[in-house]
Amino acid sequence: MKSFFHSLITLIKKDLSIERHTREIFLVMLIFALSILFILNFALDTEVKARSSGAAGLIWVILVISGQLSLNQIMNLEKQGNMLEALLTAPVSRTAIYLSKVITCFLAMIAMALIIYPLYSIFYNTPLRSVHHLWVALLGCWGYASLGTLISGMTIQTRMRDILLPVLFFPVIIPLIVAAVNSSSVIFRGEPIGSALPWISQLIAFDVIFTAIGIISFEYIVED
Amino acid sequence: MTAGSADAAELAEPLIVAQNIQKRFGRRKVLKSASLQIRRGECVILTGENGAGKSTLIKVLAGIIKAEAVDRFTFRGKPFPEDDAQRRAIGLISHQPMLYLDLSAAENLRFFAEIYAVPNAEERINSLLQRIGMESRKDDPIRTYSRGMQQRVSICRALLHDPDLLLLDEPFTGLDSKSAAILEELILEAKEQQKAILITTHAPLVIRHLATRFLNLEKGLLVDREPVDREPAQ
Repeated sequence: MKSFFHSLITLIKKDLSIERHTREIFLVMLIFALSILFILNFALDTEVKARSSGAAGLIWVILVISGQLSLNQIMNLEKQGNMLEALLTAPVSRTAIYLSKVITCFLAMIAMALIIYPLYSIFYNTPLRSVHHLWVALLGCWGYASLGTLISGMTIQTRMRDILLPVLFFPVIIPLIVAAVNSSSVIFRGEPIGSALPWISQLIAFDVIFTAIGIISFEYIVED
Repeated sequence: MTAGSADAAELAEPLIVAQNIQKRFGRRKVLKSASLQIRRGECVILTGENGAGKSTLIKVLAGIIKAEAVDRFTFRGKPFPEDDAQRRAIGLISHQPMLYLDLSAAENLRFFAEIYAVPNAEERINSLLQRIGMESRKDDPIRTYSRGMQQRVSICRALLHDPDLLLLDEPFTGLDSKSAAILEELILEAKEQQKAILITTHAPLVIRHLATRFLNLEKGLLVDREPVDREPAQ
């Protein structure tokens, strides 16, 4: 168990170190997300009430699309120079490889959420109302990262990976996005968090199911 | 465990045994029934036409891909892959450098030293980099290196954890004469240290002096075969 956590931490540190050198993941996501936020400013109704009602959906659309850029980049790190094979030869559990990618993607996503939520609130004069947004963002980003890493692991070996990833990923992520948007909407409307419990339960279930599937199946995906 | 600490019984046994490996990609059966065993101190040169399945065999032996079927597959006397200690005893060089292009040579080697739990890592990294003449460029990103320099660092990566089995997939490809000489020197040294070595190549005559025996992969089967002079030299 000790060596599992040692490998996991080493792999995450390596990904973060590459990101520190290249800034290819977070910076690209941030520029993309800010661009969409800026474009929405012109596309949306200027009425505050209309902007508030659509806030949850728009924030999650930004997170989902910019998150896909991180998925491509994070798995691509292992594609360049045949690094995935180097890791598969090494005494590293396949679960540690999978979880390291999930955690790196999760960290990029949650950092993005921590920027986008307040920015949306400031730009569009939509009060956040509650810190409960944080729990929804944590659950939503984890589910996104766990499923995204799993599908990215499947498509990374293929010639059409850039096309296959969104085609396979978006239909499966819909239940998570629906739950995240509905939970966030409840919080934006200032209703008690209890009203969002069915949606939050759906988020938790999604996270547990796809993290478990990823842990069980990643070995077979990358070794065959 | 290094050869020095292996006891006599272990030294007498083949380090790696694989019987009747089968592997198919789609409808094409690349390995039909490939069998081999390599003892410590042996350097086996594996030849075969392009697409014969040499790299696939190396990947199966390294535990990167699973064989579709295999009768017996042991490494260090135990079924492979069974534990991390077995993986820790394999060093692999492939066509590609297997290095993170955005990290420096030193950062790459530090990462692998962590993963393989190499004791006195910094000392070992420096001595290997000095050995291959890359110490002065160790802090430059790998992507700024030439192909030959990347391959030299790749050699360091493969030797970093002092493996018992070296799997070298066309390791001389893209190397200049100086780098090739260093690699030959390291292979001979590994042989002397009773490590088992498997090298795939298209130019067996060039490295004939390193070999203890030759294998050829033909139609998915491994056969003993000495190279003949008409084969192209590198």
